[in-house]
Amino acid sequence: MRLILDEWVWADLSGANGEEAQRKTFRLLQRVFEKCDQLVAVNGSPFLHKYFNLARHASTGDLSRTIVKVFKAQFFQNSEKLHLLQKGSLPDTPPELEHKVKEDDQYLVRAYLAANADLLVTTDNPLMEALSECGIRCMNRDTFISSYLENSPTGWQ
Amino acid sequence: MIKKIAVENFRSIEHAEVELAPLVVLYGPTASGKSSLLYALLVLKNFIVNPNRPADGYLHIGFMDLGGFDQCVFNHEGSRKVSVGVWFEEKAGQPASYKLSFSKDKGTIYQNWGDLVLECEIPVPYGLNQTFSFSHLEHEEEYAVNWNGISCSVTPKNPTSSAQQRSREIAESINAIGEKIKGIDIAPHRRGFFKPNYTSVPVSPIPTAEDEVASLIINDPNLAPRISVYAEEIFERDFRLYVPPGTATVFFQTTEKKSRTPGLLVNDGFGVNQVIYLLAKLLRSDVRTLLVEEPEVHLHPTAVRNFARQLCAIVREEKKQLILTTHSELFVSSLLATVAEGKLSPEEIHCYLCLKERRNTVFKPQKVQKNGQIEGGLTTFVEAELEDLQKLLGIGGRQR
Repeated sequence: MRLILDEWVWADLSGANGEEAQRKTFRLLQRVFEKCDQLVAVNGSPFLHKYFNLARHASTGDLSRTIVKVFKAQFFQNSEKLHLLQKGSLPDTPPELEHKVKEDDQYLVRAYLAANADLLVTTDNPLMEALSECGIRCMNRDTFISSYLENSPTGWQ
Repeated sequence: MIKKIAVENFRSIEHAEVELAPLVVLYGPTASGKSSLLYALLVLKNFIVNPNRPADGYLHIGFMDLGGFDQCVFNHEGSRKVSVGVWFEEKAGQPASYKLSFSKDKGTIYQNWGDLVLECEIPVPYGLNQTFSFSHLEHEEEYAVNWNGISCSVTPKNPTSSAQQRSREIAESINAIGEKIKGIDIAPHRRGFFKPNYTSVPVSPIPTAEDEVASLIINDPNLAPRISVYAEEIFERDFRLYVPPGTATVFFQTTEKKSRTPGLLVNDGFGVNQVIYLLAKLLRSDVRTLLVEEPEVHLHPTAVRNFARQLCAIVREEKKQLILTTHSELFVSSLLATVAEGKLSPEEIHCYLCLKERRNTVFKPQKVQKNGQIEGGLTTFVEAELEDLQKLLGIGGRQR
């Protein structure tokens, strides 16, 4: 399964959303790493900018520095676990979504289409509704994490 | 360039075939057997340089005595033969390989050049005092090949001038295989220079002592300037030789570009010292393949990155082959970043994760992608941190 995760991942992993969110999201990434699933990211995207910012501000000894390092080794450098798209290779946003999706979020739609992804996980409920209407499979972060961690491998479906 | 190494029954390697690129990176847990692959090549070189010594002598690799045959044969089983084989890049469509298998008292040599297969049984020690005759047919011309296990002479059956010319070319090509093996050298993990000045001394086939490497620098007028070019890129520091008039003593100096302060190399940090040593070995004109153990140790992360980039430049521009071991994720990441930047192609770098499976070392290839990603990621470098992270986050063991 190819997953597109929104920028909430970095807010969670930095601890900004509390220890429980940090723990759960870290567990989620470990589960993705262990299963035959793959993340999708776009070079230069806000998702990777947030990752970079977390890396830049993490000091030696910080929990977030270790998280950054583990993510880099397990996902960012791993062609089996992170499908890395180049910005220029993305298709245009479908016309029906151009006005429904904020410009900043359109890369998620374009990445979804370019990577032939299976699911987009977000905390943005209006985005989720707009995309679902156009046949893009979306799920709310909390629902996804719970089902992905607690249920059988296909329990979220 | 060596395209493939095959090693059998050597130290922890029961059997391994490793495909090589111009830059080969071996990483994995401590004592997993990474260095054994490097040392196997030196054993082969030792044989080529001087086969007339006991088998234990082949296992004395210059800077280190591996303890003799009984200590080096896989699982200490004396009935096994240690084998090392190398395959070379095809030249004019002619594949070439050389393989030595030996026990304590005898050995077998296989050499292949195009369709010609040479094979012989030899005693160990071997005084190169036997000749093995083969016949080679090419464009309906027959050539007699007389081979002693390392080098050969070729004579045409019908000695026309063109056949004689061709026979010289064939002999040159076959003998070039041994010369290529002689072109293997190693830069072991060590501080390079402990003295402010040196005088020239004789150099052994595997020169690792500081006086020998200093002599390489002293005797090659181009080596110090070439070292300096790369040292400036890595440390912003040049490297020069100073010879007081009327003496044969050579002082090794560096100058820090920012402060414009010259000083003796011996007073520079460990990192600068070891890199100058390594560059001297790598940039030698007669070295084609350099084996390097943990080149990044003692370097600051910025220097590690600069060094990795310069090694890539040397591989590409100087046409050198580098086979190195490392424990540094940063070093490997820096090499991968050069691939992502297009300064090295994925075909020019092969990465292997070395693991011990029971008693045997295995080399698991991890394919490098054009975007700098690597198949399977660099997870081996973060295993310990992952375990700590799980504890710190209260997650406990792996969630399966």
